Amino acid sequence: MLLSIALAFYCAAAVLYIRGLFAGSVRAFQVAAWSMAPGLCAHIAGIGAIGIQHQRPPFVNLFESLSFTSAVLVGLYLLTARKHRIGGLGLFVCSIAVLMLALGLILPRDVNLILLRHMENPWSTVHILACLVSYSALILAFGAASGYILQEHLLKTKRLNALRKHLPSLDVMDHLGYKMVSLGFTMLTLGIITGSLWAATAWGSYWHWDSKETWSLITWLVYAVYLHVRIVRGWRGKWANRLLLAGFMCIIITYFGVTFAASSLHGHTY
Amino acid sequence: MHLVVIGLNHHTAPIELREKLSISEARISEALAALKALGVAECLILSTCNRTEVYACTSTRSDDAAIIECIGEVCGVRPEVFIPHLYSHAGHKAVLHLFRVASGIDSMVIGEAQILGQVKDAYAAAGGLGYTGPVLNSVFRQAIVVGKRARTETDIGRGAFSVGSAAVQLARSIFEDLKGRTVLMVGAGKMSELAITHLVSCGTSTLLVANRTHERASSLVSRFGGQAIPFDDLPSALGSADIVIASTGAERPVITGDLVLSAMRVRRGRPMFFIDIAVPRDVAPEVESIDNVFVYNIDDLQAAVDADAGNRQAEVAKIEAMIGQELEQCMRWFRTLDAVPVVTALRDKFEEIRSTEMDKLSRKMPELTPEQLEAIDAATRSIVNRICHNPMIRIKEFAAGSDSSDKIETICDVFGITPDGDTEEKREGG
Repeated sequence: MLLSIALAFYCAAAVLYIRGLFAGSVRAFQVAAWSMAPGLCAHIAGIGAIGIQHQRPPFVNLFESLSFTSAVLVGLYLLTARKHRIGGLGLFVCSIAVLMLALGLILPRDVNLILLRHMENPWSTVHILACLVSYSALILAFGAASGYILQEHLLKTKRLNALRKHLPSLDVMDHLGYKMVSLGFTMLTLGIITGSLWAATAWGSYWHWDSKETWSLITWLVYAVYLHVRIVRGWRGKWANRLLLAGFMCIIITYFGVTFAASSLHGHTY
Repeated sequence: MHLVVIGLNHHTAPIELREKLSISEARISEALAALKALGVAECLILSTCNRTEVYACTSTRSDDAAIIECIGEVCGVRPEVFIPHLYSHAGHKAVLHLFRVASGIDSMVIGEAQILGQVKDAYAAAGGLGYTGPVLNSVFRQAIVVGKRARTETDIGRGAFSVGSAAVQLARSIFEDLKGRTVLMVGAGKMSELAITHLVSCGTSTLLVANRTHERASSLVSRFGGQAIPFDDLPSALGSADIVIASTGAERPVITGDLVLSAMRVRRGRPMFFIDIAVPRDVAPEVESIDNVFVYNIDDLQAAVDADAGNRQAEVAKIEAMIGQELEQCMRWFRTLDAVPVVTALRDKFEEIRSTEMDKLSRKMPELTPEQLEAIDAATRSIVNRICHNPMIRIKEFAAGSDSSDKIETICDVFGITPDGDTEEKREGG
């Protein structure tokens, strides 16, 4: 129920953003940002309710993980939006949140009992939490990178339409992408380490070259390259941001691709 | 009350005539006094570089010719010279005109912000000298509200109005904040000053000027603050510049691809924004293809201004609709003014009856003590007030409606009153 309310708010915000974009109305943008906050409150309450009701962490199946990730995504966006003028990214965040939450709501909500038994391990909660937060941050980094590439293209080709004005500045998007990768990369690293510690007790060894493990390593490497070229070589702009697009593809494969397509020890729950 | 606006603007009169008829701030009070001497109840003058308008409020139908003659006298122009260029609106058309002016849709550059300030100033000037009254106060206050609403509720005031502001807006799409940015001027042409004025007003912190003649560079530096650098230091200056405004008279591009590439290495890829105002161009074509470097020339900036002007034009319809609502509200209030003489006449009539009866009573019963008389006086006043209360409210309501004259006439008929429309005189006479 609470999650449906959250979904309704996010939908409303997305519609307002689209209206703002096409009607060129600045007001619609402001109202949209305001309607995301109550959505997030309902969302957090909904997630909390699941945890309290079942007496376990509220992210043990795909539905719950999608819901949790989208809540963190919206939270990160709203936190950043307080400091920087990033209204134009709101549509991206809203759409992704709507997509994830709606997808989550139609998925079965069974809980894998084997997973629950393994969750008694203290590393498990940290592992899942770190991975989901890293997904959220890296999805937001992808949004910023897409915005950057679009804005860069508009400025280079001198298309002086309304879209350019609604998109945040290159500076802000580049900065946001970097910040989110810093957070996401740290969390991903933590997630991989705690995951292997959990694996050591649950499955008997630290690393299995399981498809999810392999893809998370590839993802980790892509973002490591981004941080390296940015910090050491001073890469900015189009190419650095294109790396973030590649990183996002890896995230999609790690998060969903492996879950649905390949047989993996992480199974159909994750 | 009759409200009238008489004036001319950029739609009706050429610049030479507008100049002659513009009334400077110093002479406004003299002009207002001259208008007042004509016998108008309220008057106000709005004079900007694109328009001169007189708003006057008279108790009887105004004498346009007298006002026109008065303007001509104040400005020293014979009326027949400017009469063909004048427009004159009365009543709700005058209010409509003022609302359109205040919201910026009657301006030469649609949506410009200055006009609202000028309307406010004109109102403050006339109001401060006591030339405005209930009508102009109300109409102008509402016009200022309309102007503000137009700016906040529509996008009429958004976008670039000039090449300079277009440059600033583009810079804002690249660099979030212009505070603390370094601007480098290569060459110090007249046009580049326009851009630099806007950028400096946005808080860019450092200004470097590289010019072949040192005097010109130092004159710019003394005006905007900053630092004049030798022209040969251009390569190193590029490394620290976020925004470069190029306007040299050089035959060949002075900013080459190699120069910018090495500057970008020093800058570790941080973006650069070139504004190329020079003809022929100062920035070599290959610079445009460098990653994170954005080059705009004067035509690009002009195109941005034109595009924004088109967007603003599209907002005009929204504002016209808004003005329609506000006008209706204003006219309702305006019509209630018609009720004032009726209400006063009614009150006077009852008061007359009451005081006559009180006189009779005190003569008939001389034994009444002053306290008793006072009590009776208070009681009769209260009776009159209570009888008048409802009719007065209804009269005001009738007046606010659009077809009020019949009802009000009936009321006058029933009570046997004849409001003569000039309350001032009546009060003085009584």
